[in-house]
Amino acid sequence: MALLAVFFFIPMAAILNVMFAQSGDIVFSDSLRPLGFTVFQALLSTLLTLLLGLPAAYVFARFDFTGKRGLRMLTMLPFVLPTVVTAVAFNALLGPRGWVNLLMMKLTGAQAPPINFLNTFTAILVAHVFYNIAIIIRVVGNAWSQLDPRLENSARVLGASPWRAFIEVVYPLLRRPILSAALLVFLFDFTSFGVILMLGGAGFSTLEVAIYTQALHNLNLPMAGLLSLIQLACTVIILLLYGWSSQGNDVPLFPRLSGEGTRKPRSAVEKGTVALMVIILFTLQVLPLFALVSRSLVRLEGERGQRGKVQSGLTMDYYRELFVNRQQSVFYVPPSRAVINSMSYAGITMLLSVGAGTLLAYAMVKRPATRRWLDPLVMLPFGASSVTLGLGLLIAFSGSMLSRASFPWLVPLAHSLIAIPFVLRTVQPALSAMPKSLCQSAAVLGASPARAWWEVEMRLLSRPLLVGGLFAFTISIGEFGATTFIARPDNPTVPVAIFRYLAQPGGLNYGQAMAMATILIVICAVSIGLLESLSRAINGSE
Amino acid sequence: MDRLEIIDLHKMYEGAPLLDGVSFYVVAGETLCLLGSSGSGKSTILRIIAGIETQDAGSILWRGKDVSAVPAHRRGFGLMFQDYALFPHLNVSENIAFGLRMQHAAKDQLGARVFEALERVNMTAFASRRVTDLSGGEQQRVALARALAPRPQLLMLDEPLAALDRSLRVELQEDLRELLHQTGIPAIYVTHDQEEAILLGDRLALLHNGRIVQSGLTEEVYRQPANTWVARFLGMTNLLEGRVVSVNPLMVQTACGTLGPFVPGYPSLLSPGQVVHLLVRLDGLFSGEHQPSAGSINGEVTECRFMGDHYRVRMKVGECASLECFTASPLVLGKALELRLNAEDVVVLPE
Repeated sequence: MALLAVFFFIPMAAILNVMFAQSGDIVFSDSLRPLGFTVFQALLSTLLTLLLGLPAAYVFARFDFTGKRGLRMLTMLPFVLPTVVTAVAFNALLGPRGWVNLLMMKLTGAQAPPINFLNTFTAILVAHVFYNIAIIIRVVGNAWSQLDPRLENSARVLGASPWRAFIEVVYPLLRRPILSAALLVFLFDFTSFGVILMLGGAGFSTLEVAIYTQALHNLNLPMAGLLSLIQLACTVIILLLYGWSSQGNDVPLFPRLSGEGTRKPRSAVEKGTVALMVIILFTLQVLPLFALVSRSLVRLEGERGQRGKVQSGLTMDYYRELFVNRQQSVFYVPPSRAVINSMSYAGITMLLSVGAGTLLAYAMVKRPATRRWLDPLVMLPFGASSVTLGLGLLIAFSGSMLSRASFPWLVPLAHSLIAIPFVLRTVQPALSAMPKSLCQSAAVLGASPARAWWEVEMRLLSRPLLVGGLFAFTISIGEFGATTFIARPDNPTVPVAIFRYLAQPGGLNYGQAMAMATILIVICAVSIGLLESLSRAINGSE
Repeated sequence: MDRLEIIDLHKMYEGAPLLDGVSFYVVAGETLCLLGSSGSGKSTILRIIAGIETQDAGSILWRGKDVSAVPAHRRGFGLMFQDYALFPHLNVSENIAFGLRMQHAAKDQLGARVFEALERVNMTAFASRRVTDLSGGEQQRVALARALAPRPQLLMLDEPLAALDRSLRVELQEDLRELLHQTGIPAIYVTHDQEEAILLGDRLALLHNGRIVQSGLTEEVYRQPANTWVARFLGMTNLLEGRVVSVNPLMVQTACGTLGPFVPGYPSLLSPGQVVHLLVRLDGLFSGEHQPSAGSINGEVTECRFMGDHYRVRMKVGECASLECFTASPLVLGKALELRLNAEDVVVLPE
């Protein structure tokens, strides 16, 4: 709790303080345009995500097809990928140097890239759908697969056409999961930062991006503070709505036999639907990542100083270059350093958030009364966008001597604040599901309380803890928004380093950005694979 | 005439045949009880008839026309699911009105017909209750009312009483029986409970290994089970293993020597050397002197239980077989018995 108070509420107070104390130009009307755009793009993105996500959820919930598990895992991957990677992936596929443009230039002989995808509104929307479709598939798909298929069947036997049965029976029962998934997607779209900064370009400014430019480019902290407060107020509203919508989320109608609801697609229409969905998901979710990985391994353009002599072919150069300081600049940090930074920050984040998350979970389970006010409080940093958090930390701790020494700690602390809600959400259900009689029977069998805790509770909690820890690790590895504020120039993390590379011209920098993004993908893919198998093991053992 | 006929239904499930040529029929005014152990595919047959699942081969004739291609919502059949599948987002009367609305019943009629359906199952007081607040028996009644409200041409019930406790089951069996005869539509009642089948079924069809092993009037099936499995499934356990010695006259060698002659039972070909079971009626021993004898059985009393108006005696026959019979007075344990066996009370069952 203290951690939360110090590192979340002090920064927030600092924002307020700065806003009123420092003289700056607060132009209230200037905040309306980003706010309007933020809401507009988030609404549109959410709608599009639903439009594609609901059929996908249906296909996952009701049909068995080969490669289903693999595809489900692949659709999860973008969700945990750092925004930077998402941006880079679309850049690799559709950017001016992306595969599609290079291919079309080759075919048509055009000099300029024919497709202008980057810095368009479309790019933002597509990336948001790419990013968030996993939420719909997970939340709605799970509820859907647990919905008793007999309800739908009885509606059919009672004379309802398939469409009517969906409208009158399936949809009303899935309304809450759909609503809460949509709100979550809306929240993520609303607070989206990296995607808009890197794919939207200068023309598009959401609240997050506006905070960033006001604070770091215009150095107008009061204005940034005002925007942060607006942002915070909005996210609190969305979070409250989300909490209300996920309450009593009861679709308690489990099929009696597992897998009863799913079957192989039968008719031509069903087969076509499934195939189409698989192709769409594959194109949307996998192709950009594939483009990214392949782009990091293929040389297509001349190096600096080798103009005109374009050699293309497979290369590992971009990876090799990561360890070489070519520019000899003082501020230059070898990318390997960024990788080490990221890994160690992530490790510390994991320990911090698992520790704090477990304590909070115990507090909530053992004293249910605390839960009412503790739960929204903990969720707040999760909702308050990362940029706001970073800004607050920057303002609160940049001046004092104390912070100078502890500055490197700020990054994992910020990451922990973001990760704790995830850890809490994993550990708390497991803890409250644990029957009291287990520890009591351990005591009767002669175990001291400490022994009983260690031998029984911790053994049972080890898996959820590991899942939570992996989540924290993954979040920390990819965190971009808050880190841009508080990471010092000489100590960047991988996402920050990628952002810098992308901002610089030249094929080599581009390739290096691709290479580092690929490394991030691999790290995330490994942890997602572990998460999947771990959570399956948890569900299986119950 | 309202008649449903199932011809040679086939269905594979996870690579093995679940239904392997199932045929039966049901006509207006009768209830057909479809009996089989769990997992035998009874529910699958109902789902295929309803149109929720499709068969691999075979046809479903309704009034002589194959309805296999008709989608579920246009077949006009009613199906009551095992755990009722009431819509949790609708209240009792909304649940019942669902099927009527699908038929585009007029608004002013809707209320009256829902009330009528509720009246039928004595649930009028529950009209605006949430279905999630109902007890098991109440849910069962609502589900029945919902299935009947659209006046289906055929009613199928999938183990409608399986989820209820025993006393409630007995009470509802009576109600169901009355209701099914009142409506007069053909009904298929799936169950694995032989008591329910005796009470509710005008005819029985027994499903085993993907086929109907026997079908006929309930009494007939009980009097003449087609084989040992049917007899055991219907709870008839008074069986004595033996081997056919000769077919005409039908003589069977058992642990108690060669018995016979017997009357051949359900049409089936018996041949010398075949393993059979003799099904002996509980009152088939100790019967009147005037009936033709099929030999005598020597045994030793191992158990004698008081059953109210009679005693039920278990006796050891030969090395490892045992038989039961009723007596009017108690017998001492260990007493040696020699009993006359009446040919008419014995059915020779093939495996």
